[in-house]
Amino acid sequence: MSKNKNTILFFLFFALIIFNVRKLPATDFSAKKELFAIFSDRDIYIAGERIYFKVYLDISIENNIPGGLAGYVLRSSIDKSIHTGILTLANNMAYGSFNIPDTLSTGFYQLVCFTNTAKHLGAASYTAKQLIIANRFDLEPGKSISPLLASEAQVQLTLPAVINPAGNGNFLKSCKKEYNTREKISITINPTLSERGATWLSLSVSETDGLIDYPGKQVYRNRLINGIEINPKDQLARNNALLISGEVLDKLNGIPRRNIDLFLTSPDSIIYLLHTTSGEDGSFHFILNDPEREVFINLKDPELQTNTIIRVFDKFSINIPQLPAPPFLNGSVYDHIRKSQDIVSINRYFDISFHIDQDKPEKDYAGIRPRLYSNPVSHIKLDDYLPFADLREIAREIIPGWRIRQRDDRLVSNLVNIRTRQYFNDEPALFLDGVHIGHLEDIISFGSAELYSIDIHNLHWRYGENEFQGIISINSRSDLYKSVVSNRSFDSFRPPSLTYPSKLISPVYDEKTNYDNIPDLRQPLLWKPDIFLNHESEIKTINFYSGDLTGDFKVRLEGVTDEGNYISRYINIRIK
Amino acid sequence: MRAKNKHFTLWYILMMTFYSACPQDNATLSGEIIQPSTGLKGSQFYINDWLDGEIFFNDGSRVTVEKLRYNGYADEVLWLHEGSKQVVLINRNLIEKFTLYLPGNPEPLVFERMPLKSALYQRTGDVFAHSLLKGTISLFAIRQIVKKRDVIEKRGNARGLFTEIEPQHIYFIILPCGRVAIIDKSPRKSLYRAFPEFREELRSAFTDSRNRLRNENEMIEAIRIINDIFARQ
Repeated sequence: MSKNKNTILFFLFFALIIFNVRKLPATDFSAKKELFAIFSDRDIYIAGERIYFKVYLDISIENNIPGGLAGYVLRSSIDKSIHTGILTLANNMAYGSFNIPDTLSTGFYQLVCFTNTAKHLGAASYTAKQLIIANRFDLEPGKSISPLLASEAQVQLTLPAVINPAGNGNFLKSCKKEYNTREKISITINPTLSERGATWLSLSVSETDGLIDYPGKQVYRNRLINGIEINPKDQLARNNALLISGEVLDKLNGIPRRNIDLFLTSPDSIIYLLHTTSGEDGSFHFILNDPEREVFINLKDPELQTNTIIRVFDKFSINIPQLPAPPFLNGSVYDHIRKSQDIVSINRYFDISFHIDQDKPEKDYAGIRPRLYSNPVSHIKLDDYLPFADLREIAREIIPGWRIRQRDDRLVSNLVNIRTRQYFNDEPALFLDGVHIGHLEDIISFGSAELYSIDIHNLHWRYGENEFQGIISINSRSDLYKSVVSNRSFDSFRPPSLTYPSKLISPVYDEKTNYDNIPDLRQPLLWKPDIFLNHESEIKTINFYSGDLTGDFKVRLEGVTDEGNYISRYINIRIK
Repeated sequence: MRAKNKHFTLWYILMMTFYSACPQDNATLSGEIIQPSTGLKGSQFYINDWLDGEIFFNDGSRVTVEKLRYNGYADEVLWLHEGSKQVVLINRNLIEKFTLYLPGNPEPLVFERMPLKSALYQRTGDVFAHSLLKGTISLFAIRQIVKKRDVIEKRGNARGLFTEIEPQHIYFIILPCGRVAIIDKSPRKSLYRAFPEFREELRSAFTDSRNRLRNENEMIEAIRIINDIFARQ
């Protein structure tokens, strides 16, 4: 008996070791930090120009995450969303650019970025950078962006934990202080022994007056870098998918409705279906692997549609007011803005651009949506038959296994189970152009003129936690789902387009280029967002060319170390 | 014997605790709800128990499943839906491969869906083949259950016609050129035929390692030897 006990204890001990070894990631689950940072080529822009920016994401559970998605929004000081987009992260970062709409008024704006985790935790977890954008035709920009007194500004967001102030030394060095126009400029990045470490950096060279300084050397008052605690066990904290959230409410009294089954579908000839159930507070979440399609969310049970509404939250709404941080602006800034307005107008007039879109990278997000079925039992192409007036006639004439009847004030239909040759008790699931449809009445009037094909899947079908007594998928000739979803309690979400890497061209004037005979009025001379320094003492040399603009330029190097510290260095050069 | 069972139970509970803690991917299992077939005498399944496993789909997604079973008679993967106790025939067209975890064994059995036509394997189309060894030369087994004969049996008060079924495993290798070679009842000769240029080398290697290819483990070992020979070339 004692021997048996010992054996059991030995096995228990051994199994616990195995259990703990295998569960190593789980022990790290307690609370981990996700670090997110945002950088841009400049701080002051003119409406109509292009913003180049970069986001950096580091999750301390797994430093080398394969990829992910991040949302961003440019918003005005009255929380109006100006531009939204999604970035695909690779190697911990993503960079891209977008055009600032021409019609923006002069003022303070914020470029806000967030991951799913930050979105889940709320707007206070977002990472943001304050920008000044001036309208191209605003002759008195100072009226809208006059500097605020520090005491007046309610700085809502706190500073990052560690800031390395702008440093000197040889970390960032230019071989000359002064350059001529269209001359080659060499910048070296050479960290000292104590400064070495894995660091992700971006380098920008732009006119000094185009960069904002803040009182008290608190350069990054507006939360360029942000760390949040995450629980990776939480499926909603996944960053390689798009989180779509919303709530289900009672139509009459607005009370949240719990345990309501919801379907998410998207227009396609193949049915992609996601299912979720509303929680205690009526909230629901879908994790969308493929962020490139419009999706529709509706109720699984059509009977509930009369007294239920679905509300999808705007993922890109920030919901907390933007309180501009007080910048230090001197008179030369306004001169810079007026000069930039002219430059933008010239570039627009002569269609001069130094921008180029890079090749689309391979998808780093999952890009997968579950399919309801692969091949239907039967596929009917309506062009193979004589035209039919409506769906009832189609069912009666060419789909004998589909019975449509009028019961009280509504239509009911049933399919014949192909295995048992008996009618199913429940109605089949209906899809029009890939979108789940609750009511047959919505599509019964469609005939051969409107419909292209019908898939009949008359099997007793299980899809995750859902059971279907047959499936009917109808494809229309002209996206008829749009008319159906507009009449019912659907809510939809159209993800903004993906932002792909793009770059600012720096013409090489040592050789003949296409830019030889056009004015080179580049204000950012360089934007290089993808510099990585490893632990070795690696000297990086970055070469680029000055343009036709003269004056003082600032070479600004910004980034994040692998320990999550913000790092910033800058030097001044002059173009004469 | 009872103590041994206890150990396995304990092991199993601990392993299951771990696997239930694993995050799952966002794939959804789908398939036809089927009724258990009657009229068969013998087990249709390669392993009778419902086992933990994973399904890897063609689109790159993956799902961890608690109760899976491979039906060798129909060459299908079955899933027992815990809530409804329904048996679901998983939509095979979407599956790239699946794994089954035997209790106490951390290495899963891996079944890959692959197109195969053979004089020995009568079905057309594709088949779930059990991957026994991956390498320059890969070894697979088709865990098929086949009809042996029809028998008339009395079950309860009624007599009925039943199909007696039995396991019949087919082993095959995939050569570097992609060609498939069946290992028949004379495994040595099959391998000599597959690699005529190494016939003598194989003969001496098998003799040195005292490998008579009498069972599955010896067959795996033999393919390892061949892979070593290929690696030396």
